[in-house]
Amino acid sequence: MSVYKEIKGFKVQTLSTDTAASQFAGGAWASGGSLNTGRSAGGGTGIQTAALYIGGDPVGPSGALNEEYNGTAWTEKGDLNTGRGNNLGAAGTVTAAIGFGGYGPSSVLANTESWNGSSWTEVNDLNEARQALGGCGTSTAALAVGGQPRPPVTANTESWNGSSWTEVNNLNTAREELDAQGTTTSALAAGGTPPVTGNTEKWNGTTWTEVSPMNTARSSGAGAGADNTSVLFFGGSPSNKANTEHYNGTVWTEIADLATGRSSLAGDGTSAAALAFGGSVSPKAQTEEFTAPATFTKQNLGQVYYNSGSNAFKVTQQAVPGGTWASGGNMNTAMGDNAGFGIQTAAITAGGTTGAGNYQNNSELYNGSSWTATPTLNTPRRASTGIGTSTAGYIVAGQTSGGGVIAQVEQWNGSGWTETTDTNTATRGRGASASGTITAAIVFGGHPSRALTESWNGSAWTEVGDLNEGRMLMGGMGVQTSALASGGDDGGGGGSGVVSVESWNGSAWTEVNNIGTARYGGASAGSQSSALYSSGSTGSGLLSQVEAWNGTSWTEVAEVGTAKRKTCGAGVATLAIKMGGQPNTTSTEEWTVDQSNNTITVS
Amino acid sequence: MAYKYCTATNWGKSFFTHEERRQFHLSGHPGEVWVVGDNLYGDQWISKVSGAIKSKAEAQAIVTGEIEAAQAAYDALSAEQQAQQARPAIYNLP
Repeated sequence: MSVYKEIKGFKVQTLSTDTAASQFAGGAWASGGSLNTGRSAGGGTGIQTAALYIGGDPVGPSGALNEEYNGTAWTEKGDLNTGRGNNLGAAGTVTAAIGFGGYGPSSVLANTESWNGSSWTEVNDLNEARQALGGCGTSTAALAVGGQPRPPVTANTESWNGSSWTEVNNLNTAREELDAQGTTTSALAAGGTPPVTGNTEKWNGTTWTEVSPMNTARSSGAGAGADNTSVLFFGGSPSNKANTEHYNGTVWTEIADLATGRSSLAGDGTSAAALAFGGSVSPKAQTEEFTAPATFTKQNLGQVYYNSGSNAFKVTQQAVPGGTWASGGNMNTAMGDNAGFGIQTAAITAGGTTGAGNYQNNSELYNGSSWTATPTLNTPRRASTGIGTSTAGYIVAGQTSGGGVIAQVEQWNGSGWTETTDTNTATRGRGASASGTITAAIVFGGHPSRALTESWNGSAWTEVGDLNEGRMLMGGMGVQTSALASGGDDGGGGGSGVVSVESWNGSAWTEVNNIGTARYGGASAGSQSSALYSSGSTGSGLLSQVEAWNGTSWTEVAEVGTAKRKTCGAGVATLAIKMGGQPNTTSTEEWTVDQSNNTITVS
Repeated sequence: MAYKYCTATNWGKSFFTHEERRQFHLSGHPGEVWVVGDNLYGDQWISKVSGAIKSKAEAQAIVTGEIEAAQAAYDALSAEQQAQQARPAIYNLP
C-alpha cells in the first residue's frame, strides 16, 4: 500500500525569521539617529521613540545640554539650569521628567531639576548629594539609588514623590556606576563598582533583595525596563563592553551585543524596545535601538523550517563541535583518580586519592552550582568506575587502602551508600556504561590490561563478551545494550595510552574508528551515538584536547581549561561535567553546547 | 598567537565562562598558572580574576617547580606504585 507521506513528502513550516530561545534572544540592535553633541555620562529617560538625554560630560558647555529623540533624530531642547555629568540620575518622559545629582561644574550635586516639556525648574534637593547613581521612575515617583557622594560609595536610596526626596531602605551592597530601572514599587539595580560587580538587587517598594548576578560583571552600563520582571542591561566597563543581558525576573541571559561596545552610555525604554545612546566611544553620539520581536517562534531542538527571509532551510540543533568548557563549582576536597556519574546539574563523585596511598571514601553531590558532602563510601577506594544518576547509582570495584584491588560494589540511593553484590573479578581502572541503571549496566576492562566484560541485571554480575583489546582507565559511555569504550592504557597505568575504540551491541564488542590522540584516564560522557572524551594522560604528559564522537568518527573540539589525568566525567555529549583529576584538584569544568539554527544544504 | 601569563586561584563557577572561552585562549597549568590569549578579552579576564601578571619565564619557573615536586613525590613511591603511573614530565608553556 502506498503511503501518502512517501508520495507527497513532508510539509516544512515557513518562517520569516529564525526561531529564538526567547522574545529577547530574538531581538537585535539597529542604529538610530546620532546625538547633536556627542557626550557621555549624561542621564537618559523616556522610551525608544521619545527620549531625553540630559547633561553629560565634559562638564562645561555640554554639561547643561538637553536633547530629545523622536524615534528618528535628536533635537536640542532647553538646557539644565546647572550643567552636570558623571552619571546623573534621570526619570520620567519627554514632557515630564526630573534630573538629579551628578557632578558639576565643581562639586557633587544634590540638586534636582524638573522638566515640563520646554524648560527646567529647580526643585527640592536630594538629601545626600551624589554622582554616578542609578535613577528610575517618573517625574512624580522616582528612586535615586546608590552612587558616590565622594568616596566612599553609598548604599543610600531616596524616593521622590513629586515634590521632595525621602530616605528609604538602603541597597545591600553600596556602589556607584550602577544602573536602576523600573518604578518606586518594582525596580532593579544592577552592576556597579568597586569592585566591578554583576550584583543585582530587586526593589519591592520597601526593601532591596539580592538576586542572581549578571553573567558579566561591569559598571557604567545602562539599562531599560518597565519594572523588575524584565530588564535589559547593556554596555559598561572595564573596557567598552558590547554585552547585553536580559533579566527575566529570575536570571540574566546573554542576548545580542551592541554594535558599538561602550561605557558611560545612557539607556531608556522597555526590555522589548530600548534605546542606547552616547557613551565613552568617540564621537560619543551613537544611538542604537533594541527591538525584540512582538511575536517569535520558540526554538525547538530538531525543528526544521524554511526561512523565507534568507531563503534557506534550517534546522535547530546542538552541534557538539560548537560547545565550550567553563569552570564549574569547586568540590570540597581536591581529588584525583575519583569516580563519578550523573548529569551536569546533578552529579556524584566518590572515592579517589588525595595523594599517594591516601585512598578516600568521601562522596560529594553537585547541584549544578555547588558541591555538598554526602555520607561516605563504606570502603575507601580509588580507580573505581561509576554508573547511574544522582539518585540511583553505583561505584564499582577499584583499589583500596593497602593496595589490594576489590570487587566491592556500593549502591547510592540519593542519600547514602550500601554495599551490594560484588563483581566477579576484583580489579581497578575499569570502564562502565556510565548511563546505565541500577538494574542494567556493564563494566569492562581493568588493570593491567583486562578485556573482560561483566553485565549487571540488578541482582548478579555475569561475564559476557570480552573487549577485543584489553585495557584499563578507558572512557566508558552508554548503557547496558549499547556502550562505547574509548582509549585507555594497556600498560597497567604506566603506559602511553591507546587510540582504539570499541562499540558494544549488547553481546559483543566491535572495533570502530579510533580517537585522534592516544590517552587514558580522561573524562567521558555521552552515549554510543554521541559522546565526549576529554583530557587525560599520554603517560608522562597531560592532554587538554577533547574529542567528540558522532556515532561514526571522532572530531577534536574545544579544549578543557586545565588538563588532568585520572579525572572523571558525567552527562551527555551536549551537557557534560569533568570532575577533579590529577594533579589533585577541587576544580570541575562544564561542557555546554548551545542550540543554534543551522542551514541545511538541499541538493 | 601571543599570550600573557598570570597566576590566579580558580574559585569555581564563573571563574571562566563559556563566553570567555570563545573570546580568548585560556589554559590552566600547575601552580595556578594561566596562559591567557593576549587580547582585550584576555586582559578583562585577568582583571576579573585579579590575576598576578608573570613573565613567561616566571610562569614557566612556577610550573616547572610544581612538576619537579610531583616528580620527587613519584620518585619516593615504591616500585610497585611507580609501575601504576607514569612519572610527570616537565613541559614548556606555549
